[in-house]
Amino acid sequence: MGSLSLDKIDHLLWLGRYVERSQTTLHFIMGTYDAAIDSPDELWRGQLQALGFDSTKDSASLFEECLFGEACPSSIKNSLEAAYDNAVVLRDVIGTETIAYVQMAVNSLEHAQESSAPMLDCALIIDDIMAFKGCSDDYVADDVARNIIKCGFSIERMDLYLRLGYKLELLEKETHKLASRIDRIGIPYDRAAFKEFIVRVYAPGFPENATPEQLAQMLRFMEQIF
Amino acid sequence: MYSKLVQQTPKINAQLARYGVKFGLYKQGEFHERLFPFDAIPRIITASQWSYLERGLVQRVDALNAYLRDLYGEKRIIRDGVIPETFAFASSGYLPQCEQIMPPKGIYSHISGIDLVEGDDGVWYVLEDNLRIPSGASYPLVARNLCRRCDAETFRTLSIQDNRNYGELLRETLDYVNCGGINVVLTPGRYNAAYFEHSYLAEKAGAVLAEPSELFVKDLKLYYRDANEDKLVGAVYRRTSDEYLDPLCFVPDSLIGIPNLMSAYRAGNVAIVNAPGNGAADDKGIYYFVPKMIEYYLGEEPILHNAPTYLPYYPDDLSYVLENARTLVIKDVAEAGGYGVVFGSDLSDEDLAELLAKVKAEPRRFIAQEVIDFLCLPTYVDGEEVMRKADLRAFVLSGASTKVWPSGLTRYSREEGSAVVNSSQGGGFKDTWVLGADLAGSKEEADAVRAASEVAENDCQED
Amino acid sequence: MRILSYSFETQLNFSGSVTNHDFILRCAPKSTPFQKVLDSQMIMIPGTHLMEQVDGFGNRLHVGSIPEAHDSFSFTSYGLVMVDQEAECAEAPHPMYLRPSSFTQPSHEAVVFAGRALQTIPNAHVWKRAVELMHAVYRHFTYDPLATTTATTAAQAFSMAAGVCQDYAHSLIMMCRAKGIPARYCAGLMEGEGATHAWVEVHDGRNWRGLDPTNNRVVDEAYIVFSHGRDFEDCSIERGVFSGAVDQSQRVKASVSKDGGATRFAEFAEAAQQ
Repeated sequence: MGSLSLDKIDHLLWLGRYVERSQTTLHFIMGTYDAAIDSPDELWRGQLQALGFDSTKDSASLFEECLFGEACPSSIKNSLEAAYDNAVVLRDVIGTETIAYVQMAVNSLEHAQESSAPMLDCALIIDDIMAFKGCSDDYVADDVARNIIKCGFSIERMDLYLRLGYKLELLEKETHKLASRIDRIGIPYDRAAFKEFIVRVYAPGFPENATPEQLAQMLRFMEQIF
Repeated sequence: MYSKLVQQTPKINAQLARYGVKFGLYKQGEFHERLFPFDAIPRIITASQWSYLERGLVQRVDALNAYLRDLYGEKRIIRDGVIPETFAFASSGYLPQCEQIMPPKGIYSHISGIDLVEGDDGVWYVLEDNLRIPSGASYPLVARNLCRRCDAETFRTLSIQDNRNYGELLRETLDYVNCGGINVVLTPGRYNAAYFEHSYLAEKAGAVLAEPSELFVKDLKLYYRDANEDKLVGAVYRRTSDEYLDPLCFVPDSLIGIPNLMSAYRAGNVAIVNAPGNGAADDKGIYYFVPKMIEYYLGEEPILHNAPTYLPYYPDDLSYVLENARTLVIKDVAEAGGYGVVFGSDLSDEDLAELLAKVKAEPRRFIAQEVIDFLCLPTYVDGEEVMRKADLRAFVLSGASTKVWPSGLTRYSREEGSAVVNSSQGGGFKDTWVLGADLAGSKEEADAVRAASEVAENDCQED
Repeated sequence: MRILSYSFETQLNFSGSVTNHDFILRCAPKSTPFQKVLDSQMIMIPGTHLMEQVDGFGNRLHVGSIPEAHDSFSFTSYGLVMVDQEAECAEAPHPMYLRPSSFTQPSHEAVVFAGRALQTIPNAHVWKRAVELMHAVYRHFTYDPLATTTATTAAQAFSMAAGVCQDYAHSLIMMCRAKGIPARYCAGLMEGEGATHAWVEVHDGRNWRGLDPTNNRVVDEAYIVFSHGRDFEDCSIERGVFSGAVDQSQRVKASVSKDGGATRFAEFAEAAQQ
């Protein structure tokens, strides 16, 4: 295996997290955008609020902010730029081909921003992200590096699912993925916290009967893992 | 011949953007990344021209390495009066801290960037030697990949030498001087103008990209802070300047740098590529003496020409400069990157008088050169072919032997008539095609070159 | 010829703990034509492995690092040296000793001053002119430890006409070089002085010879040289970097004697450490 400093390990993990954050958030925003078309009660605003967006705006500017907002840390623009910032310092580890897909996602977003139908153009961002995932799986030769990125994907997904109470039924699958990799990446992690987390994900009645307090508690355990 | 490439220029540039071919720029204190514009019309160098350049470049770099060994060692060339001692040691790049250090395998300049221009008269002139941290080899590498994809036919028929072995050459060079351990590319960090290149070359040479904080010295050995176990470093291709290498040896208050790197180097435990102190040989003032070095160390006639240069330090040259300043280009030896280069013809009377007063006051600080009318190359700008001045940075790698990378960085100026080609001043770059030896003298090659130079000559006459 | 024993101790106290401390020391005498090192030892607290080198100026360098947390740092250098001012070195001066360095950029004021000092003997022998400049510097300056810091340049100290040995030396070097006399900075110890001392060597055409402008005295067999350089910066006794935002204070003791007293002091220091 190659040489990885602590800084690079950190960048790999956050590269995975920000790429996943961009993708999952974008899916979520696109879904909400669709639902908002014929939802007079505007219940969808609550979840965008949970993601950190200013839900008091009118719907056009709210969705604009979700995608391109510079001030809002959760916007797709900021997530993608953060992914790029982490990717660009990893060229010797993950390679130019792989980084190119993060760059392309950033370019696609800029393109969408200039478009008259940005939500339609956002599909291209998803394409680029999917290509990044395939490329990192295929081309990143260093096993440790590849697995750290994937741990980043899983952690971020779990984080967002818990935060939004969204796709909770998929938590089990993500937990399983993380569990199968976490001992292969050679990074120290909090075993006790991970154990507590696993116990709750696999508890009978989860996620059907999960309360918001339980979800918040699980989120805390999850955040302690790394 | 390159019409297909020209047609596809926007696409090629779009793909360069995708691969992140960018350089950084500080504007009002803020960091920006800017794409490095690529022009698809190549510079073409024939096999016979190249073999001439290659011999000249190897000779020049061998002499420069011999000079550096001598300067920091025995100083024969100074004792023998070939280079005045005030000149040799007054250079700001001369570092007495490096006295008597013999770098691994005796090589000081491993990666040399020699800037050349082709004059209107067809003669190549060396304008500048860059022996510290010459940059620019990465950009043509990426461009070449795309151009071959775009127009395979041209590459096949012209038998253009493949230049994508640069990473391999770099790796061989690093391996040759490696004192045991891994190879590292040391970058000042993400916000350096050439960060793309640092990271790209690390990838292509199979080296680890590291920032100063990821390296440390223990018991006179350099280590990379790997998360699992520290790894010994045998060669560091540093892209940081000398004064920020080691705060215990150079700038004391510098927070960047690797404490005691110089001690590890002095002990012979790590190769620093390029060696610290090389600035003593690529100084604009020392340039004047390079042909003399070639004669002195190699006993050979210089193959490549210097641009006619005057040193105001010599009284005769000073009076020539004062009388002919209008037709000369005057360079401040302390500046780099296209700054501090002034054409006498561009100045108002007052500004010229002010400059000449400075030259008189500090003659050692300036050199003056005849303006070389260098060849314009056809360049595609805003949908039409125009002529732009262009230079060539040739990369010479010194390891087990001295090799010239069969390509180079051709930079062109943004403005018509301007001779300032630096990327920081808005210029772009071209691919540099070195035609294969197999076709030397063949009809295709002759046609190709004739076609290119005819256009060039015609348009240049209009300037 | 004289045999001198010497001992030099520095203790740095930090207001809190520091880690990743990398340092170099230039506080061991070097062998020169005028000085032969018979014995030279170093003691470090905290104990750490020191590696010895010779720097670009021919000075002895001790290189070390202490990664662990510590809140003080001390080093003691002691040993025995034979000094001999009758010797010859026949070494040509490096041209850098004729050029201004960062601390010795000439000021107009100082150059005029030097010219006036040499007014009556403009064509005298190098050595005679250098001695004359030393007298002039000595008369011009008032010894005042509060007037300057280690960052004060020759020109600044000269215009204040006050300072310590470092400033006297820098000023004399600045003037010698301006007058075409090769001059270099010397750091080391002097008999009767409780701390390190700095003086100047000028090249008289054959030999490097010492002048001590602080004491207006030609260097004799009471001096031990640690290092030579263009100026103070090349001769720093200790240079280090570490992690930790702390204040530091320093305590220094030095002694040179011909009766072995300094060595006994050092033995005592060594015993105390164990």
